[in-house]
Amino acid sequence: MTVLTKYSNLPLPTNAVERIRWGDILIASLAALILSLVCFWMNPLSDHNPITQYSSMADKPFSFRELPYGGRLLTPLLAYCMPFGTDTEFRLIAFGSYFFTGLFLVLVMRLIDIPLYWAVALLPCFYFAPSARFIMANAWYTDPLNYWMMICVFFGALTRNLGVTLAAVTVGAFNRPESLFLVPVIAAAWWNVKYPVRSLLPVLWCCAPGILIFVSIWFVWPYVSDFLVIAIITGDPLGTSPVQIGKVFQKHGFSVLLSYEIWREIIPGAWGLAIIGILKGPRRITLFSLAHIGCSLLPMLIAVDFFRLPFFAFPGVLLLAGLGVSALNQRHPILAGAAVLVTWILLFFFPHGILAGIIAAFVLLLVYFLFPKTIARDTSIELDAAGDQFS
Amino acid sequence: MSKKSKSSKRKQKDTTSPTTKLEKAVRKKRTWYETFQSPVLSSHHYYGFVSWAGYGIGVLILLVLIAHHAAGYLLRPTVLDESLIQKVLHPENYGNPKIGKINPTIKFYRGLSEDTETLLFQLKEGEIAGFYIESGALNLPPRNRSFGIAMITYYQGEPLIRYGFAKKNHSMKQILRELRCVSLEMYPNLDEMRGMSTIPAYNSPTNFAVPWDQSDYFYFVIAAKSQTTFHLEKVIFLME
Repeated sequence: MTVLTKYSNLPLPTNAVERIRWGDILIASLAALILSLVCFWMNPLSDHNPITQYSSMADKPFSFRELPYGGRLLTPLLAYCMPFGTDTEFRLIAFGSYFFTGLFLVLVMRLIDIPLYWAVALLPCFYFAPSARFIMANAWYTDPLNYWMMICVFFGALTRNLGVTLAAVTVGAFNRPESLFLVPVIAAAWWNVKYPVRSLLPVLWCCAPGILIFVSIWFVWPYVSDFLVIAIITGDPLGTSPVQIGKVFQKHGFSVLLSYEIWREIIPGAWGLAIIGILKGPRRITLFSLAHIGCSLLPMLIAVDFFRLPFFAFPGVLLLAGLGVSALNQRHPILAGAAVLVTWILLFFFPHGILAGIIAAFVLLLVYFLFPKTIARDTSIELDAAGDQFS
Repeated sequence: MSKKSKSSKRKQKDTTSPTTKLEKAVRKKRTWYETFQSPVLSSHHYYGFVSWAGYGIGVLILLVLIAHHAAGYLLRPTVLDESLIQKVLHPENYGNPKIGKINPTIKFYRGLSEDTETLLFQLKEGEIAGFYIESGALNLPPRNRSFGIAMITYYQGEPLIRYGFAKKNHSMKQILRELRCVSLEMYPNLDEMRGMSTIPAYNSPTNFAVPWDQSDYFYFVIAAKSQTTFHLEKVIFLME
């Protein structure tokens, strides 16, 4: 495998994974568990199932359903394998996925050396986001498992671990083939200017099974399932997507990327921290996060109902917010604490408040640049010096 | 020679034991806080077995995908017979199977719809009409499989469909009122004539009063809740 990774860029040092301590796992697990329990308790399962395709797939997993729903196989298959009622099964899968998403989100932040308490402090931005709460109340969607896999891709891509990245991309594609939008994000992390082609070989290696799964589900599955029989009976062309992508794109154009419905879902309360993260964070990590946000928004050009889709950008936004809070912490911990508090207030009182988010970001930037740098204490230097003395 | 080897062994023991004791002492001294602060994974393990575990998961998912597709292929329903309507309308082309009308006072017509020959039922409120056909003329599944029918229809009104299997000695009254069968209530359509396809629900032999492999006739009946015009274009027998 070293042959494959020889020319690609490594975003973090190889020993970055050693930054994750048992204490991090324990505290992050506790925080994720408590937040998951609270949020699931606050958002009980809806009376009406808005998306019956997945629950009917859980009852008959070897029967074809219309694309794109019929291509999202893993969550219904897991539900089929569980011994509880369909609703409970979907709810359990969603709960587990939310828990592990929260846990891995903290771990990814620890990888890039964001202090544990600030990483945990940003977790509510995920759990209390309107789209996340919508999915909790409508647990029949396949999104939660993809949230978790997306964070796993972040973990694997930042540490350039081919096995972890491959597993996360493959599981993600099996659950929702559209999750392959992460391929350019991984490429952004590993691309090396000196070896533009050879540095992308590990990307191909990691994404090949996911691409194979996509092709298999969209082009093979309809023809080996009961689709042909159903097509004879109903006369419906189930094998093709009911959405004509070209027509949707012509209708939307790029102007759709400016619409309020998209930006309100991308945690506007955390934008201030994210901007500081972009300005002060390590270049490779910020570019990676921005690439992720960009790639999460591109599907809106061809999506018909994108009310919850922009939320797939949350890991990039929260990673940047983590870098931002870390930068503020280096100025003064109270400043970082105040910024996190403002983020929480915005999240709870103006969850969709783009204007409030922009004003808060402006104020935060102003405070950050006017705050005297002399107060800053860089504890990491002291620790390094101490380490040298002992050695 | 043997004394020398014994002493050298003792020396070896002597030199190793303090180290082990020291190690034990160090281990004993490690507090919960130190464990709390120790890394979960070394980078050696992370790029070693964790990475290989990732490849394992990838391979496992591919195997699950193949198994899923194979199960879908093996379990998909089989089309047994698509020509029931043609057999009723043109029995001479199919070896003249025994065909009869149920409730002969009501007529059913051969109608044309969408350039296709159909069986046309015109019923007033509360009327019942249908037909039966010799089981031997149909391709029916073996006893251990499930059976369902799918239909392509055009209708206006509120039809209720019932189908099942009967023996020679069953009376008309028994077929219409008493025999256990499958019933399908079509969605009421009180406006214009419209097309409707039905996807089958599969039934085991116990869902019928007479299992298909012991039956003499297959019967198909339509009851009208209100005035109904019903075109039966295609009936597809399926096995799951």
